[in-house]
Amino acid sequence: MSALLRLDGLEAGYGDLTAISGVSLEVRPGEAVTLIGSNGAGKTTTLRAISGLLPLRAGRIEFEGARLDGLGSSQIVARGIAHVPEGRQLFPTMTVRDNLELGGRAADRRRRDEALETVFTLFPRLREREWQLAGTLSGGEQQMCAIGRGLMARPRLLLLDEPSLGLAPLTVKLIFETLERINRGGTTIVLVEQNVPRALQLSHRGYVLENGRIVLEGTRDSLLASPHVKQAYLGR
Amino acid sequence: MRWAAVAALAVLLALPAVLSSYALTIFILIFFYGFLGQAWNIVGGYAGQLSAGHAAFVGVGGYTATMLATAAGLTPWLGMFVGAALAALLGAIIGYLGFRFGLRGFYFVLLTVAFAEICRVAVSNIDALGGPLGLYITFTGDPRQFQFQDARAYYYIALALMLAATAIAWAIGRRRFGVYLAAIREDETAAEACGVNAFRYKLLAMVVSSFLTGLGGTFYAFYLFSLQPNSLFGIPLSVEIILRPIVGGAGTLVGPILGSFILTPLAELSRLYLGGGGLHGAHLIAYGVLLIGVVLFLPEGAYPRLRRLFERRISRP
Repeated sequence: MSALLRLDGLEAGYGDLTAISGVSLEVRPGEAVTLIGSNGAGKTTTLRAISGLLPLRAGRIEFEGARLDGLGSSQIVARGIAHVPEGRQLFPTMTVRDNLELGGRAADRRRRDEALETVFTLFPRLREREWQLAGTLSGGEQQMCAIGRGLMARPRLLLLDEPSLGLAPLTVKLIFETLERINRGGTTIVLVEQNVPRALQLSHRGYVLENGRIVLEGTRDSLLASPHVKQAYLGR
Repeated sequence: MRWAAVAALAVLLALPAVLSSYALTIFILIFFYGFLGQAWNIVGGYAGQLSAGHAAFVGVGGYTATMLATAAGLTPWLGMFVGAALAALLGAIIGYLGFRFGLRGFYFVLLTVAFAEICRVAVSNIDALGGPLGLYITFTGDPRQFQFQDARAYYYIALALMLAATAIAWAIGRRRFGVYLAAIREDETAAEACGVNAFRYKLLAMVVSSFLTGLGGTFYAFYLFSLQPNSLFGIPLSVEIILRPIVGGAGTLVGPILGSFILTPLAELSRLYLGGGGLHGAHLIAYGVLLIGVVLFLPEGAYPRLRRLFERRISRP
């Protein structure tokens, strides 16, 4: 099957620092793929490069067969890629409803309401909090709101950066169950996560990033069985 | 809130019947600066892009309508829209340069000031536009020439302008456009990451704002019957435009109007009572002291504070 997303020799960084180099990977339609790596390995940088928030120094990105690199982030969202950033990045002084509306792309009201309805069905808590300011939500609700905002664009590819960061175990469980439903509904997912067992449980495949390079790739089962992954990321 | 607005409107509509001519003048200025403040509010308040050169749009609008009326015989009722369109074009140019090249904060402020100054110097040196002395409009009292024997006509026109700009700002605030502008103001990078095309919406806000401000130029010209480059394009007017929404509460619908009701009478009365005699400039000191007070005690403006006081009172059992 042809790839939905293909990264080829990506290099990106900040100032003098090269954060990732020679990153190549493929994501097929309908898959859930995890990027594993320690702090500073380049996981977030890879996501930021895909969604156009960070310019590439080298390499190319293809989405559904078309070049993506060089486009602005709003154009990339319009192509069908939504990015749920690390730390949520909600607008605290705006309502939950307005935060969600920000993610909506459709020009006509009815299709945006449909998207909103889908989000509220996935996260009933957001419906209860619709008119509350996003800054007054709990951490878990904020994460739901951030994911919901990404889904408002009806993306074909959802990029998630550390969705479990700082959340209670029960909330993490709820969020990952919802992500699984989203993925089974046909939305392809690329996930960056510190919680490796949890992330691999959701994923079909994964890539291991170390020092800005991909050092290992494989299916969920082969990664779970890999001595390297076991030792470095699963603590066994 | 709605009934308060309806009641206030009824009072304002009836007021000219009982006002003295001096009080009428003050109200006309309140509405006019409230209108300009509301127009500025769309780009400066809602979108958070601090334009400090809005006088340029007043100037372009006023000069265009006046030249079209005196040289081509076009009624200012149409000329004001031509002037507004040219002001919007200038706004689009300034916005394009500023937003395309990512000028934020002070750098955008400087860009807008620079454009207004360029316009002022250019007009001062064009003899066809009257040069530094400016243009004078012969008073005919003909309503078709935007001139009225009865000052109450200006009162209602200024009120209509202020209400129209407020209606537009209200409509923007309720639509997705308003949500996008608020997100851009709060955190432009995060807004872009959500897929908001910040460049497009900032530019649109600038065009709407400069168009409305350009309409104001025609009113200014045909209310005062004269226009000089220093007063129409100058920094003092740009500052006057910004002060009211900031004092009242930038980015709120009521802020520019409330700010104008506070500052305009204050400016006029302090000029009247402190401007003459041996105390030249004392009115500016009084004005300045008030502004310092606002910055110190009401950093978000008067309206957000008033609203909180009001809400606390109703929520109390």
